[in-house]
Amino acid sequence: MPQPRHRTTIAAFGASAAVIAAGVLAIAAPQGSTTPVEPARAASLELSADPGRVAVDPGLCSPSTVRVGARSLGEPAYPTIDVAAPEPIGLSRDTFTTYVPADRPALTPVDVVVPGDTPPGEYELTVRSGFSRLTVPVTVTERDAGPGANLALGQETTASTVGNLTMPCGVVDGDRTYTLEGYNRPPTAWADGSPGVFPDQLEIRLARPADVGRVDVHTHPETRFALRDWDVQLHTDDGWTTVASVRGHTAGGFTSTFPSVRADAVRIVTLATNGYAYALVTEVEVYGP
Amino acid sequence: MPLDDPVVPRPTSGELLAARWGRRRFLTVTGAAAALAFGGSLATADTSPQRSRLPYPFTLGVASGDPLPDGIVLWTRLAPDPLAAFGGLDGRISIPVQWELAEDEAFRRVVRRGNVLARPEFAYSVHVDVRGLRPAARYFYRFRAGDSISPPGRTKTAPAHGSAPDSLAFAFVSCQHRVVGHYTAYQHLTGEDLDVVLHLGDYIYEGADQGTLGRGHFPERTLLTLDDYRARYAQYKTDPDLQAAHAAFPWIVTMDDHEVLSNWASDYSFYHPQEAEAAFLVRRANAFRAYWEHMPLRLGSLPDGPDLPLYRRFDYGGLARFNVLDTRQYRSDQANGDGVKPPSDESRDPNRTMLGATQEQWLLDGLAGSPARWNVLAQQVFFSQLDLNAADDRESYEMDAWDGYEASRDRIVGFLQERRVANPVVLTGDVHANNACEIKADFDDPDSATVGTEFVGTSISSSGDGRDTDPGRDALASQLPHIPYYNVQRGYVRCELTSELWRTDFKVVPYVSRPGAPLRTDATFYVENGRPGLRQA
Repeated sequence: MPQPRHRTTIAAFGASAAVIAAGVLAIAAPQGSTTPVEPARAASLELSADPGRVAVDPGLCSPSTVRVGARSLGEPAYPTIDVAAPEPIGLSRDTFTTYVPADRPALTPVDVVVPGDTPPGEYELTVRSGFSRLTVPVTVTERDAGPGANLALGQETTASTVGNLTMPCGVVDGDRTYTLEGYNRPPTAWADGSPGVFPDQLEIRLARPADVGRVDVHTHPETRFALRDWDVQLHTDDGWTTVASVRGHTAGGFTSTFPSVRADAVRIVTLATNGYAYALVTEVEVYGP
Repeated sequence: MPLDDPVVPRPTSGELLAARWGRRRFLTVTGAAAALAFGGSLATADTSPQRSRLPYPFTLGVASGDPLPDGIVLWTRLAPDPLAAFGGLDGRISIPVQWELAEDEAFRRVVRRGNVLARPEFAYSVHVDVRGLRPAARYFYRFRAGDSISPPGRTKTAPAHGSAPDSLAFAFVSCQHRVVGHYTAYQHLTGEDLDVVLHLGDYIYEGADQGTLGRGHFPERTLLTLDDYRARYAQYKTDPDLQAAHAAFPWIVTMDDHEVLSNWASDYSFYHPQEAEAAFLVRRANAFRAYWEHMPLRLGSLPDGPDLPLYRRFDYGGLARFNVLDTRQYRSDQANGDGVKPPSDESRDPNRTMLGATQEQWLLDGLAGSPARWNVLAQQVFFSQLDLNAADDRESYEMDAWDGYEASRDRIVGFLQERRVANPVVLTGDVHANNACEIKADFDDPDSATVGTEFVGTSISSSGDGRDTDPGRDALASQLPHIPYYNVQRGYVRCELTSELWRTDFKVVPYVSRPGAPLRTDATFYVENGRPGLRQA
């Protein structure tokens, strides 16, 4: 791996740290062709990160976003930028190519996640393009696991099918509203992708086995879009067991309580709606006894 | 993560045979033949390991475009693994590509050959601007990289300047949202006998939607970076029906909004208001670069960062002139907050522009000095007035269309009338519906002169299965006497013209949610030379 020949920290926008390195983007000399010949891209890149230090809560449904900035110190260019992270950190992009102007940085969001059972600790992302290089510290935080903590928050969630502009992670984001995906805005709810067909399943894998005595399911606040019937199942050493059956629900949230069970996953099996073709869940919350 | 599984065409046994034959031929190419092309001289001692190991790279097909009387652009992109970064290639080493152009489908009469480098800076795309060809001539072309030969493409140059072609047949298409429909219309289009195809924009869509047809978008996010846009174009171009339509005819393309971001205008998108101008311009630069890389465009259309020189002109002898417009890059922001709104002082502000001053003047100059019998504006958004409010005493207009830029439209319509521009015809995409319109000197006065004709073409797939009729639209009929026809099914529009008569056939398919729909002609209109307005068959 080429080491930067020199590293200079300079004042950067916001909370970013920035490193300048000389030389970027070796471009093969053009041969006779009608493919355009670009002017020599002698530009160096100024890499930056905002925030300059990333804090990540454990859970595959709770990414933290770092915006990787790249500014050309010469002519505008189209560099490829690689982002590397040690296990167990996951990245939404580990390489990207972008237009990089000279007058301000191009900002590319990169989502950073760690599994729910990741212990608190310090890690580093490495951002590299040519000889330019930047490290970004990552702190894995510790989630509140005390009494009253929502054990589902941010944890890995999957579904049997996924409706357009919704996401399973939308039910563990701490947001009970029904908001569909927009430009650079994640959806805050889940709907299934098989209209008129039931049952559908939502499954939340807890960070680690825990005693579970209460599961709240929130659906749409208007009855015409609301879920009506569902089962709550917990996964234990003996497999899946149904701990609550909700029938005739009309709108908003409903709390199911039951004798505490040690479980590592929670499943909502949706059985019927109040007429809407899609099962719609805005939030699932899981609590201890 | 439910990613899409695109159909990636693999070489057939016939193509493999052709490859063996083709390699022998390529190895005997003389220096003289190569020199006839772009002075390209291939590195003779290419020992890069990538070449010998190059997996089949022509997964995105071939294309040609921007026909001139003596020239045509040939296009392909090497992408062994089409959705991967740099198409699965290493992103550093350029790869030599040979091309040849012949008068016959069997490539026995090769008239041009050459070598180019597919370079990583352009995602291993190849744009060959072949010149010195005969006018109005049919040619066949193909590429070779490593041991692979591309499928052949068929193309045609434009007629000579000053010539008087007997006829011209073309089709125009738009709006091919892959998630919501199959490209059945392209299957039928490929079987037509056409000189050229015009694409009026929305070649890709920029969203993360997955849909229910197994044609979900990759990558599964709203496009932002250059590699995002490249992967999306590659995904669209893996469609065999789209590839076949490219391989069958030269295309002339222009973009609308979804090649960048929904309803963008200049340096801003209403649907993404939180994105600052500087950030939007980076997105726009990435989108433009990927557009150029994936379209059969000349070097003259190569974007410079966030600036794309896209509007341009094509003459088909003295028969037709195509003014290909860009109604996105230079327009004023949509008035009244975009959407469907009543007109206002803002939307009628004479300082608002759809084309920008430079392009508008270029258009007017090209209309005034035109030698052509038919003067075509190939563009994106609805040109004629379209009052969407059924109440007689109220008006509502689509602020994104020319109705939101009335002063710009008035200047053009006024010019067409004053300068007696020969047979103006506006071609439009964007709205996922067919319409036939008469362009009025004063749209509010049905008795005013008809100045020209507008044909609005429906989508290839966008909006999914359509309908023959629409009750909401029928309710508007009394206030739209200048728009006697509409249809909201999917398809394409075929036009055939002679010096005396323009014929338009609206071709539709009844569904796109599954493959295999039959084609039918929903309506046929004629325009007679010197008599602006519609005549229905």
